[in-house]
Amino acid sequence: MIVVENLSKHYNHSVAVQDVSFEVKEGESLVLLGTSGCGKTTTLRMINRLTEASSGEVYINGKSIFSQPADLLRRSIGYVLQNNGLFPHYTVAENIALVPKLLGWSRQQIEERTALLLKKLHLSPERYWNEYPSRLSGGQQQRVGLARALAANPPILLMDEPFGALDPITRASVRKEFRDLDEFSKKTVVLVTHDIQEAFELGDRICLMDKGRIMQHGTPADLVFRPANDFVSNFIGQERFLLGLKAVSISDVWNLLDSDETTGQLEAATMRESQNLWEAMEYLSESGGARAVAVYNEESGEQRKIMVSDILRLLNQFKQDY
Amino acid sequence: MNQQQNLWEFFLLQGDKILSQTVTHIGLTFASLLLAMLLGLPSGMLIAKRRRLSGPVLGTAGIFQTIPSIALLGFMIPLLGIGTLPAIVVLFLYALLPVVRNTYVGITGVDEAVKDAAKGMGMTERQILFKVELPLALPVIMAGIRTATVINVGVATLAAYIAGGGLGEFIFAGIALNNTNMILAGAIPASLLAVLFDYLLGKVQLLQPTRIRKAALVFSVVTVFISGAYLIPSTGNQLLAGFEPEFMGRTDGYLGLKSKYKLDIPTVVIGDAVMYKALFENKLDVIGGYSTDGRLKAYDLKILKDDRTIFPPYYAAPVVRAEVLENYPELRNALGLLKGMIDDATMTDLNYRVDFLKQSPEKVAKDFLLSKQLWRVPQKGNGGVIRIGSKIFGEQYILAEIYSMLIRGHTNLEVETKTGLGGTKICFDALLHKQIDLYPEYTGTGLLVILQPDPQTVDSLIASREKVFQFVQEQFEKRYELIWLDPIGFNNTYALMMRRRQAQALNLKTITDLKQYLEEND
Repeated sequence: MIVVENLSKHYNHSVAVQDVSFEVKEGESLVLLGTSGCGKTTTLRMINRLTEASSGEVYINGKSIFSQPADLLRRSIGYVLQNNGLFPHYTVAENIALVPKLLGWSRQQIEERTALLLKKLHLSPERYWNEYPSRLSGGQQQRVGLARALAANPPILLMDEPFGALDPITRASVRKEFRDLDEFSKKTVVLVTHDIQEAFELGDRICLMDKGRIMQHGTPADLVFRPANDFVSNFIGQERFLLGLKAVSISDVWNLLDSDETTGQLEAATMRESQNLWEAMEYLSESGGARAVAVYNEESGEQRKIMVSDILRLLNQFKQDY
Repeated sequence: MNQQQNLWEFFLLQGDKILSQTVTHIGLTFASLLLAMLLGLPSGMLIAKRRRLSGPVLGTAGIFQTIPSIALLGFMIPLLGIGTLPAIVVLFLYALLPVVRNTYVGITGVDEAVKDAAKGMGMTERQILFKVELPLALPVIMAGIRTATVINVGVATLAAYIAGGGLGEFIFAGIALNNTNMILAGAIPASLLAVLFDYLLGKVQLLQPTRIRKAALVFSVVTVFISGAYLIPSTGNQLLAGFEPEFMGRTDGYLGLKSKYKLDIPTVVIGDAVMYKALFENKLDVIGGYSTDGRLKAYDLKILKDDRTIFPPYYAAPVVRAEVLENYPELRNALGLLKGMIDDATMTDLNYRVDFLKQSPEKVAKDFLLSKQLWRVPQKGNGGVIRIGSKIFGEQYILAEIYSMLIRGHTNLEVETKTGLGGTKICFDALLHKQIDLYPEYTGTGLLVILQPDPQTVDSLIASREKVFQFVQEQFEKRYELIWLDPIGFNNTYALMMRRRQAQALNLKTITDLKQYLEEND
C-alpha cells in the first residue's frame, strides 16, 4: 500500500507539484492523468525518489521511503519508462536480469525468472535471449522494459507513460497484453499517462491533475458521472459517451440484464462480468449480425445476455442510479 | 628508379637503426599515452559528474594543445632537462585533451533515458558509472585515444630536438643534410605507424558492445606492456655527448669523429636550440657546436682542438642567383661591402648579443653597421625586390638583417626577408627554385652537404680555405647558376666543446685527449 501525504516539489520559484495526497491500496492501480507539465511525472518520480520531494511524506506499507537509501528503495519498486531505457550494451536477458543481479539472486533463479517473464510477454526465450535491444521492434522493446521492471517481482510497479512511445496500434495491443497479465492485477500500480482512454482502461482509480494539483481523485465512473469541477468536465469533454461506456462494467449493471434462458439461443458465454459495456458493444458490432452476447458471472456461475438495444438503456440507468 | 634503389639500399643499410628508432618512437608514443589515460580518464569521469569543473579542466587541457609543440619542448628543458622524460611529458600534455574531452563527452552523451532507467532500477552512482556510462561511452573514449595516438606519433618526431630519440632523428638529419633517403627513413615508418594505429584503433571502435569492452582491456594491457618494456636509456658515470641531427649524419661531424678519431662516446641526438643550455646545465658533457656561437661566450665553453682536421673551413659568404646579379648589378657592390668585415671574435660577440643578451637581430645588425660606418638611411626602394633567406639560427638572422640594411641603404632595391628556413636543404632548395634570391652559406656546408664530392676530392681540399672556396664557387656556378660572393671573414666551423671547468679539470685540450680519456675510463 502506498500513502502519499502533502507531497510538494518546488524548483527555485516555480511549483511543479503542490500538496498532493492520495492512497493506493494493495493490488489496486492508480492512474495519474493530465496534460504535459501538470506534475504527474514529477509526482511519480518522487515515489521512488528519482526526484527528491521538497516537502511531504510517502509511506510504503507504513514505512517512510526516506528511511532507507534511495538505491535500496528503488530495487524494491518496479519502474517502467516511456522510452524503455533498456541498456543498449546488454542483451535482452541481461537487461531483465539487472535488478535480480543487484539483489544477489542465484544464476539459476535469475534464468528461470527471465525465461518465465519472456514467455508471459510473448517473446520466445530461444529467439530473444541473446538479442540486443536495438534489434527489437518498439513493441518488443517495451515488453522487455516491462519484464525488467517485473523481474525481481516487486510488489509495486511505477510506470511513466509506458506505452507513450508506441504507435497507436502497437500501443493498444501491448496495453491489452499487459492488462491481462496476472502480474498487473496482483500488483500495486501507479501509472502516468496523458491518454484518457488508457487511464480508463487501466485505472481502478484515477487522479486527474492540473498545474501541480489534484483536480479529482476517484473511479473512472466518478470522473464521467460526477465531475468535481469544470476542469474535469472539460477534460472528459466530447468523449463523455465513450468513456461512460468504458466506465461501466457488466457487473455494475448485472441486475438489469435478462437471463440467457429467455432465448436459449446463445452457446458458451463469451464475456465476463468484469468487462465493460464498451467491450460488449465492440463485440456486437464486430461479430457481424449477432443480436446478443452471453455474459458470465464468475462468482455465481450464472449466465446472462446483453442485446444491442440494451446498451444505451443500461448506460442511462446506471448514470441515473449513480 | 635510381632514387628508389638508393632508398631501398638505405633501408637495408640502416635497418637496425630504423628499427631501434621505431621502437623508441612507439615507446614514446605509448608511454605518454598511458600517462594521458591514467590522468585523462579519471579526470573525464570526474568532470562528467561535477559539471562545474568541466570548464576549467577542459580549458587547461586545451591550453597545452594551443602551445606550439616546439615551444612546449623548449619550456620543458629548464624543468626536466633533456632526454626522454621531457619528451614524454610534452607528448602526454598533447594527448591529454582528446582523452579528457572524449571521456567527458562520451559519458555526458549517454542517453538520459538509459541513465534514468539505471538509477530507477536501483543502481548506485558507482555502478551506473562503471556498468552503464563507461561501457556506452567507450566508442567515444576510444575515438579520443585514437586521436591522441595519431597526434603523438606525429609530435614524437620532435622529441629528437631534445635528445628524446625516435624517428625524428632521421627526419631532421635528412632535412639538414639534404638527404631525401634519410628523411624518408624517418618519415615512412612514422607515417606507417600513424596509419597502422589509426586503423587498428578504428577497428576497435566499431566492434560490438561486448567485444569493445574486451578490446579496450587488451589495448590497455598492451599499452602498459609497451610503455613498460620501453626502457629509458641511462648513461651512468660516463661522459655524455649531445649532437644535433645534422651533425650526426655528416662526415665532418659524428661520422668523422668515429672514423678518424675512433671516438666512442654515448650519444644523444638533440636540437641545436637547446644543446648549449643542456651542456651548461650539466645534462651533457660534450656537444658538437659552432665555433662562432654566442653561447660559447655566454656559457663559458671551451673548444677542443681539431688536431686531426676533420672539420673543414666554414667561411660564410652570400650565395646569390646569377640571374639576380645580372638584373641588379648594384647588388654585387652592396653585398661586397661586408667582405672581410667580420672576424671570428666579432661574429661570436654579435651572436652573443642576440642569443644571450636577447637583443633583436635588427638592433645588433644596425649597431654593427653604424660602428663600421656602413649604415645609411634606406633609399626609396623602388628598383625591384630582393628576397633574402636565412636558416633558423641567430647568426643567419643577423647576417640577413645586415644584408638587407646594406641593400636598402646602398641601392634603390627593396628587400623582403624569409628568415627561419629550417636547414640547409630547405634554404638551398628555396634558392634553387627561385623562392629566394640569396642567403648566407658556409663553404664547408656547400662542399659537404650540397656538392658531396667523392672522399678523395674532399681530402685534397679540406685543409685549405682557399681551395674549398674556389671549388664551391666553380661548382655552384657550373651546376646551379649560383654565385658565391666574397667571404665575410669569419670561419664558423663545427667544433667539439665542453664546459671550460670540466675540460680543465680533466685536462682535455684536443679531441684526441678526449678520445684517450674515454678509453682510459671505459
